[in-house]
Amino acid sequence: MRYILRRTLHLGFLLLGVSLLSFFFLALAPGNFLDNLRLNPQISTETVAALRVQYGLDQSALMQYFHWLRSLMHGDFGFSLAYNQQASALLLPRARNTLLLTITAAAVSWILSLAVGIWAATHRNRFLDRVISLGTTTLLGIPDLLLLLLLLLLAARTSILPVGGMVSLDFEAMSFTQKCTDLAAHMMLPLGALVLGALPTLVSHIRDAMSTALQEPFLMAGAGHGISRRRLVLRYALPVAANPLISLIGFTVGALLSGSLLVEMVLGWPGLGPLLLEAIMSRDIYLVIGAVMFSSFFLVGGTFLADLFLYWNDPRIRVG
Amino acid sequence: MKSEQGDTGTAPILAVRNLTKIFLGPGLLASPSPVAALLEISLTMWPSRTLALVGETGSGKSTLARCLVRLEEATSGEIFFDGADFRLLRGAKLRSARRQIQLVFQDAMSALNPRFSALEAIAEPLILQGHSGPAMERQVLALMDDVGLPAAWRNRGTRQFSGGQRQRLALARALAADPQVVILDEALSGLDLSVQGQMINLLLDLQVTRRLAFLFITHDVGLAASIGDDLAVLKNGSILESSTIQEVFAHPCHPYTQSLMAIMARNAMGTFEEASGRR
Amino acid sequence: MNKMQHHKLFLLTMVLAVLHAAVIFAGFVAPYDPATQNREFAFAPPTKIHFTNSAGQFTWRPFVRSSKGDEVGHSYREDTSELFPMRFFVHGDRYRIAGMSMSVHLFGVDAPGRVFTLGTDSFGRDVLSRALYGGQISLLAGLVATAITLLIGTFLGGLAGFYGGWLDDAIMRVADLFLALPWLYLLFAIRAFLPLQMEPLQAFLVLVVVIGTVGWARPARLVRGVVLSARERNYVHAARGFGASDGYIVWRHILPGAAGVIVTQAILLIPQYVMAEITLSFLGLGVGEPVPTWGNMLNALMQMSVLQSYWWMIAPALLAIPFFLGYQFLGSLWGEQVARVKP
Repeated sequence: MRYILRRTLHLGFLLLGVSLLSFFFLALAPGNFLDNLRLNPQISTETVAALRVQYGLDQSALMQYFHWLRSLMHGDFGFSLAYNQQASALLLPRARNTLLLTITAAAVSWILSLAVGIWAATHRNRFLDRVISLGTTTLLGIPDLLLLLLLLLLAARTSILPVGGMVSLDFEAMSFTQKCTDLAAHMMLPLGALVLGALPTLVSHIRDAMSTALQEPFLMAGAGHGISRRRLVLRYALPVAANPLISLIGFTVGALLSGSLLVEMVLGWPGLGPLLLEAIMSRDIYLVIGAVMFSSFFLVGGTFLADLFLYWNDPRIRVG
Repeated sequence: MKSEQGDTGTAPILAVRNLTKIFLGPGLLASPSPVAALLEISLTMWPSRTLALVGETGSGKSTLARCLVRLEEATSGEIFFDGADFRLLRGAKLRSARRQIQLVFQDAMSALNPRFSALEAIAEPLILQGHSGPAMERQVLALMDDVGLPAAWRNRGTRQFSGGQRQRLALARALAADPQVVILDEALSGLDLSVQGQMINLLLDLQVTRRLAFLFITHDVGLAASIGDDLAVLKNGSILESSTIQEVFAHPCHPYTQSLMAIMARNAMGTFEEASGRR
Repeated sequence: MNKMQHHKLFLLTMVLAVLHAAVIFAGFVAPYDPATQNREFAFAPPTKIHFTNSAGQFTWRPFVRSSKGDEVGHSYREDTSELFPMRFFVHGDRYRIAGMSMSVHLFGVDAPGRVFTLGTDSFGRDVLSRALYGGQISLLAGLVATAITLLIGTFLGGLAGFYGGWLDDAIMRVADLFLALPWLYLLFAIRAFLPLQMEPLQAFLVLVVVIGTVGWARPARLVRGVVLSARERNYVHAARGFGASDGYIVWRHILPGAAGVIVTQAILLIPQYVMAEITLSFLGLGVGEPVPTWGNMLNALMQMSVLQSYWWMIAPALLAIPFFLGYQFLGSLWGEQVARVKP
């Protein structure tokens, strides 16, 4: 229980730290949000006045921070200068899309990696295993962005999958199944990119963990008792290998989140990534901070969940 | 034949009075039972004499050695050296005074930087005193000669020396600092018996030529007997008895000392007789 | 290291050296000046290099033909009337290397022939030349940023490890914060709050400083670990006994131990930071036109028309990949070497 409490506190502090850091940079930024608001012809003077009061825009950076924190308590992320609406209205749907992509990618990566990793561990040094190793290493060596661009080029020239966007233009008119296939088709490319990026590390870690677990003497004893190989691998070796792998889940979340940013930007998936880029370009400060906060939250939250999982799985942590 | 203590009227070179070291428990707050590693230790060392300190593991011998060279800070007590309380020195004064009390560790390998050559290792105290150049190198070679290491080995890496040779190296380095007191903390433990014999002869020679005072810390009473002029027995952080070696051997007061003597007598009768006969 | 390893390492270093040399001596290797525009050759595909002439005869000296472009649609056809033999060590556009002005190029063809080995971009600029020059900027950015990170990381990690106590705690807490954040987000956030339009040189400096200051946490942790373990060694204690000051101990005993860790980090970080430059420039947050970098050249691929019709614009990526694979391989070989020698 105390462990969970400590981790939650840690999470809170980290997020607070991130928000402070972001606001620190806000203080350094050239240009004044208030002035930019005033200059924007689309925003009425009443709105500007109201915002000035609500977010303390004429006060020091520290005061603005407190205003923002207070607004955050009410679920209010500030105001978007470029879109002339509440930041949360923009952030939430985008966050949802990013989560959708990232979680699907995590699930697919893990399932694939487990399959390949466990197979590789049980067939060490066979030809195919070596090929997989080589492929893994090469894939690791190619940086994400370059891989993305290659994928993009391939997709554009072969026209198998739609490039860009989350759904087709006539999405609303489709039947339910059509909608599902449409969404899936659009997700293929970004999903593929993320999974390819995560696969190498995951496969090698799983392979190593399983190989070590498979060498445990108690497995030999089990084999002596006549337990089938498959049962041995899945029901006995896997739980032992699971411990180091659970920490890997947290790492996966982090890596996928960083990766999703770029993937979204390059492949046109409407998540937090492109929003962040746009916000940066148009100096839409509350939007930038909101996007950064969301991403940090997902990231730290993922690691937190992984810690919880570890706690649940390993009785030693509960006692210690 | 060396005179007994107090006879010649020479002043002690190092006097420890009521030295105490208490370790608090781990964590922010002291554990309910702090450990007293040293309790009111008093010792006296004379120039050109060897004080052998005998104690088993956990008696506090290493803590004492470390406190004497200020690697650890004692909780209370005094260390009189060279007319001042060595325990109170700070900063530059401490840095210049420290080299006069040198410590030779049990594990020579950990005490020598594996990246250094023999020359670099031995020269370190000299460099820190501001020496350099060919004159310094000559000094290093002279020291190597003193401890019985061939000059041709000066560019060998410290890792390439054997156990006994490394201790010679460590000793040469300690001597380079031109100390008045050398503390040998189990420095000969872990060496072959024959090597131990050679080292003891070396130490005795050096003591005469350089007028050094040794504090020889060991768990081996036999070894203590072959080199010590005075003997102190340490158990659980306290000195049980301390006197000249002949006195302690002839009339051990404390039952612990008596059992030590018995063990030693059982192990090496010949050494005992030789020790009491040689002096 | 056994012979096999030695050979592999040697070969690898040679390959990397050649790649780096090609980029450093971009002026020599590239046939054209990266800024020269050839409007009549916009988006020209890579020039075909022929070894057999129209009569079907094989010649040792490769040659190219000139291309004529359609006014519309950028499609090019070879003009079979003329041959332009490729020459080596030719004189061409002047360039500067180490302060000297030279005009010798590795290869080229006589005007009005053109050898666009990797095609041209929207302004008709030779992609190969731009890619080689671009490599200079991208690699330099990676190198300088790595130096900055290692300086900061070593300093802070060394401080934390050597003095311990509250300083150690404070520094490590801040390091935790930096480590917890997704690196790319932090990069963007910081870059965001700086002026968007900057002179290329300014942009480069800002880019390098930003990348360099974001990644100090991991090297700091590693250096701290090394320093912590070295600090308690008996040879450090012995040195104190000879009157050594803290500075001497750090310099003579502790830093050499950290050297191994620092080199490992350098091998890891340089490609990462080159990638960071590429990413930021790609998104328009780095160095901009007209200075070519691998990043901003790849930005062209963000247009559908380019993706579908002008595939050669991906050249900078193809040029960069061997670098990254090379560094990765070097890193793993070095890692094995270090593991072998551990005392």
